[in-house]
Amino acid sequence: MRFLGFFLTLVVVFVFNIITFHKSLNNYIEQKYHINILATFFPSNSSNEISLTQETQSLQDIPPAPKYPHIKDGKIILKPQTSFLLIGDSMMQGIAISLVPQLKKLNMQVSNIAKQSTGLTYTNFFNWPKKLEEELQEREFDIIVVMIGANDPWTIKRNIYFKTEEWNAIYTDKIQSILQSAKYHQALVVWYEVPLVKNKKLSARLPYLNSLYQQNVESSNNLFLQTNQIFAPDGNYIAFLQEENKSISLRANDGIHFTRSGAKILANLLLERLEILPDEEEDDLELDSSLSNNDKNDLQPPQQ
Amino acid sequence: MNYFSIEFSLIFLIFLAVYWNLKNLVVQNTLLLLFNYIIIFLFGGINVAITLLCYSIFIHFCALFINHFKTKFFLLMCISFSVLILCFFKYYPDLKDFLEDILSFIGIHLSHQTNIILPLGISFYTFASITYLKSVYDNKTKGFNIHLESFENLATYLSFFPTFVSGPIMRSEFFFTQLRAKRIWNNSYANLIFILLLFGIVKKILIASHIENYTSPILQSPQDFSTIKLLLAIYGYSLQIYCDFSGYINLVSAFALMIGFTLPPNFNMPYIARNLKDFWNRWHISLSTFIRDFIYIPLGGNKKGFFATQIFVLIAFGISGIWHGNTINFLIWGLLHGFGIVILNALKYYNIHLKNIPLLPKILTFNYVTFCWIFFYYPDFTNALSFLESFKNVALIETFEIYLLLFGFCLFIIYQFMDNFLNHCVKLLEKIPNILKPAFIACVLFIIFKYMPNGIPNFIYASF
Repeated sequence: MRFLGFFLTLVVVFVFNIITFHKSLNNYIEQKYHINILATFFPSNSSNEISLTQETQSLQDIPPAPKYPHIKDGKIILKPQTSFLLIGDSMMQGIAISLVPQLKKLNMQVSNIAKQSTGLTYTNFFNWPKKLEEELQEREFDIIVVMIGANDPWTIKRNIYFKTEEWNAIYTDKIQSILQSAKYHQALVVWYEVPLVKNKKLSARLPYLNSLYQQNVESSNNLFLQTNQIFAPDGNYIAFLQEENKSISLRANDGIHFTRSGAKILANLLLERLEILPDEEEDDLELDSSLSNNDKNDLQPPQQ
Repeated sequence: MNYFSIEFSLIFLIFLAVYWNLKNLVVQNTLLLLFNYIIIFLFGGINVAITLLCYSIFIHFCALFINHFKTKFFLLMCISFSVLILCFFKYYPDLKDFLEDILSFIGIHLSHQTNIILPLGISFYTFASITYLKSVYDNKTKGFNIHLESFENLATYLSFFPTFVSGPIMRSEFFFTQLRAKRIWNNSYANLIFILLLFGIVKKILIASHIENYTSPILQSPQDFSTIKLLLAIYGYSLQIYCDFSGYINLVSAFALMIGFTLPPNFNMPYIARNLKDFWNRWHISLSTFIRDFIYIPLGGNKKGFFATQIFVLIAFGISGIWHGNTINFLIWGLLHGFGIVILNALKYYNIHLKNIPLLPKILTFNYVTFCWIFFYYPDFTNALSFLESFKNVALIETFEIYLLLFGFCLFIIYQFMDNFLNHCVKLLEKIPNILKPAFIACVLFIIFKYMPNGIPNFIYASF
């Protein structure tokens, strides 16, 4: 085959695959470059990702919250065999390397479904609220651990810019979907603050996202774990932690993900909050009503 | 961006169209150099490109130095410097405090937050540069200096995009002979290129990715799974790493052929190896021959008696292990292979062999290699040990897993007869009329992409 024939074969195959998989390609481009080509050129054909309509559970269906686990004075009071579900992006996958075996050592059940390149902004690519609801319908979990956001602080569709009122409403709606799903299925949520990253543009946007998480998570009586006290102590990204004249490497070469020691520190942030009661103990611990995960006021549908 | 991204495909298509329309070799080579650096910038960022440029300048001056002084001392000094640069980047996070203390002793105070990042591809271009320096030295001592290349040629060699990320390690003479030759499009290579591309894509994004989805949860929490699942996971990982790396080699070999270059072979059906020595003649061939020629033989090879030979084998494999990663597990992995070969040498020494039992040597070799991968997969010793301890798990025998294991065994038997599979596929593709080829390839790709897992995969060897 001559070069021209060879080259044309490559071009035809390339074009055919672009046409065939245009939706996947569009999702990839949207996730990576924050441009939705289909929405730009074919506004009517693109799926209505930004709809605020949520399928909210009926309040009457909610059974009373179980006694364990619950949050008291910033601690999670739980019993052995509590089930954890880990969700989030590649940062969560990093923490999971350390967190999963340590939780299992504590006789907990853990399921890790974190997935790289995911977030809450581009749900065409991967829809966490939907995925979480599916998981919770399939199996009961007591605690949902979340770290998400590093792929998120960008424009939605063509013109819904980060930090604008509309963006804020859409994004908060997605956070709330996760919290409400958890609440309906009587699970606590432990939400990790996203540590600042080396990339200055992304890093500058993360505090705003973190404030949204903190506000929503704490107001729904769940636990928000602050990480930047360690990972960005002066409000600036650090790659190494100085401990007893020894440098502990926290971040991978890309300045985003964690080293094993960084992941271990993050895992410990959660582990030190756990207060595990003996399995057989029948105590009379009074639930902190303000922190109970049965507060039906939090189960209002998101604002339309 | 990586070799599987849409961005790379698009840029590469544009480059190909321009490249083959240039008739002047010098212009073609200049464009190749420029394209190499564009790809490196897009894959790794500006720092990676600048580090490579500086390293190329350093190696160019080293070569001039060796060419001028002609002594082995200067050759060793230059090679030592290149290896030191590699070690500095590769092991910086572990040596950080030590290096800071040394620098502070001589009055240079670095911030505790100074971070040196391992540049993409540095291992492979360091190895390539060592073969170049050795070639300059060898030729100069023999009386000619035809192997002293221009800076542009050297920079093209060290940045050559098909081999830049994860090899194969191409000897300098092998590359420069091709770089100097007039580039001619070889019509007979077209079908081979298509098949190499399809092999690379199938191996990596279909087989390796799906296997990874199955094995990862088991390998990450081995204590939760039964013995049979642990076996499936480690056999699966064995297949995954092979498909991942050999798929990458298929892909970059196709890219090189598309621009008129051939790459040295790096895999030759490694899991049909009859023993460990045979395995290393078939797995990552360019690395094992590099270690043989640049570590094992200079140490003394097999010329200093049986006992010394075994020590050299262990040193060579220990270094190979440490090169893969600075953890005790990589060292154990390397030494396990070293000890395996020492035992093999001892058996040969006492004239004991298992050749007469059909398939048994192959099964033993595959299982040994597979269980060594445990130390390659887990970065720390306790995790590897915990995996091995999990084999004590008592669990119900699961029928599906037994069938899966039997299916794997059948595949292993079939694999023994697939020696010429790639060539057969090329011949099959040759029989399809050229006009129908785009439709055929597009259909195959459609099936692959339809059934691939989500996301753009990364190669395991890219992190070395």
